[in-house]
Amino acid sequence: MILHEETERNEMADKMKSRKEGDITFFHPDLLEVPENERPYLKGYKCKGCGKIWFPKFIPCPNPDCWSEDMEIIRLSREGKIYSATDVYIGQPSMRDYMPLIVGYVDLPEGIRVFAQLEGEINSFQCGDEVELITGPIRNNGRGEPIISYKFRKMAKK
Amino acid sequence: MSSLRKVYVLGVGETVFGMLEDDYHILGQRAVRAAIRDAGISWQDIQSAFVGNGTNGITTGQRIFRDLGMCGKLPIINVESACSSGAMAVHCAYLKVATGVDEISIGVGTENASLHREPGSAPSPDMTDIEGFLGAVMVAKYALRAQRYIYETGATVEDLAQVTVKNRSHATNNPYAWRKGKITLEEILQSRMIATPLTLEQCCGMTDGAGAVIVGSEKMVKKLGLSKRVRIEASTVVSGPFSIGPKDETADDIVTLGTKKAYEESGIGPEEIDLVECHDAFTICELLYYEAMGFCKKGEGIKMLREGEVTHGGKVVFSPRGGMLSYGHPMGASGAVQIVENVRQLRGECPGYQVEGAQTAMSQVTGGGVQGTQHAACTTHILSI
Repeated sequence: MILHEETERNEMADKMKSRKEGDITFFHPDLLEVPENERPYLKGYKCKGCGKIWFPKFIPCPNPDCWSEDMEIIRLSREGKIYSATDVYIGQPSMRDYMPLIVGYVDLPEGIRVFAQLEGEINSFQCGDEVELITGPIRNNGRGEPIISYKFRKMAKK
Repeated sequence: MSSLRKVYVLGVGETVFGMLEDDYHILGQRAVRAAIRDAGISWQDIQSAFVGNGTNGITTGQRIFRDLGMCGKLPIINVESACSSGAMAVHCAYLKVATGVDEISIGVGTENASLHREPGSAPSPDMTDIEGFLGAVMVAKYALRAQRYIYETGATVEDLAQVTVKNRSHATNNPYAWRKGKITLEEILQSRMIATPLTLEQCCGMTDGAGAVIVGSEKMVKKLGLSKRVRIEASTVVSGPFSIGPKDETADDIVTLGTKKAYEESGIGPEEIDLVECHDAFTICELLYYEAMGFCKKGEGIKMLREGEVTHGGKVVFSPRGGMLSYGHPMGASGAVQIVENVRQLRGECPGYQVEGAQTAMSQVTGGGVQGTQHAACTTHILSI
């Protein structure tokens, strides 16, 4: 009996540990929806209490006069504008494989600014460029596998 | 605020900055002992201690004071808000005296980064922060601001590099500074790219060091017979306004908030301030802060720099010690050592880098990056003599 409990406890500890080390391959169902036959989109959280739209997910609503826990998920625009972009050559120790890394702030029409990795050539992004949401690897997990999440790339010129 | 007592700086101490073999607690002890000597007091006179450290561990303050034999003799409280930690520790010591709880208290900032951090990597928000998880490092966030500043104002990367030229030159004769003296625009621009447009020589180094500030009441100043009385006119801490919407990244909401509060608390305006030690972790920061602190109008920071208004002989001397671009930026230490250096300037104890006739000095240090804020914290001090 005692032995059995020990084993269970160890299994639980292992499970917790692997979760802490990060074995996810998708970041994150609360942020990003990738429908089968449609293009991916970011999930906005519209507060049913005060009407404000949030990204990422906040529960409760961070409006201190509201703090409602009731949120409606809405689709955020897939297209936005670069506020600023930079090519990063020295990053986090675990991100060596991803250098140089292009990152930027993307302004969405909903009045939301998103920090994101950008896919494209270094030295090619300008303030004001129009970009669209795609998915791709953003870092590796604890097992060295890529984690898929949202990124942006330049829109094809119309 | 009127019920607060006047608070003075009784003594200051710092270590030489650089990549050092001694860990944070030894550096902290050195700064504490130097400050006690400078104040001419006994360790027994110190009634409380606040210790700022960013990343070196837990119960860092007790680790410092145990080795000095002071544990068990006074309360020790550890203070952490990333880069703002050291200044926040001094703020806490200030409050302890201002509110009349203690007559003498000490604020310490210390950090050894080089022994603990992986070389060739950059500090970042932690992995619970969405931007941190997506690979943001602090230098990238500042690079994004620099790119936008260049886009909006027509400033050039050469303009940014001039901040390094100025600050290294200021530090030439400062025995505590690390990288100092002449550096050319070419050397700065040709150094390794970290995050466009910021090259290595436009970024603060990963260094180690410590600073300590002993504060006391008017009664203690009289008792010690201090002839050079540096008073803390304002000591303010603010947290970063949060919004997920667009922010003007060429402005700085929290720095404007923090300095405005300090100006109100002290009744001193930017036109009366002789020198500033700011959070010049990257060249772009100074330009943003000239404007955010109200030393010039929005968009005119670049003009101030070009016209020599922020160096000796100008309107206000920014970074007379050489700033973080010369000292490097040991997270927990910087905020405290800015105050140490401002005290020395007001006492006229900076041969070769003295701001002549300095009577009022400000220091400002932000801390941390949390998604939706420009910085998590900002601590501001205004001192006068």
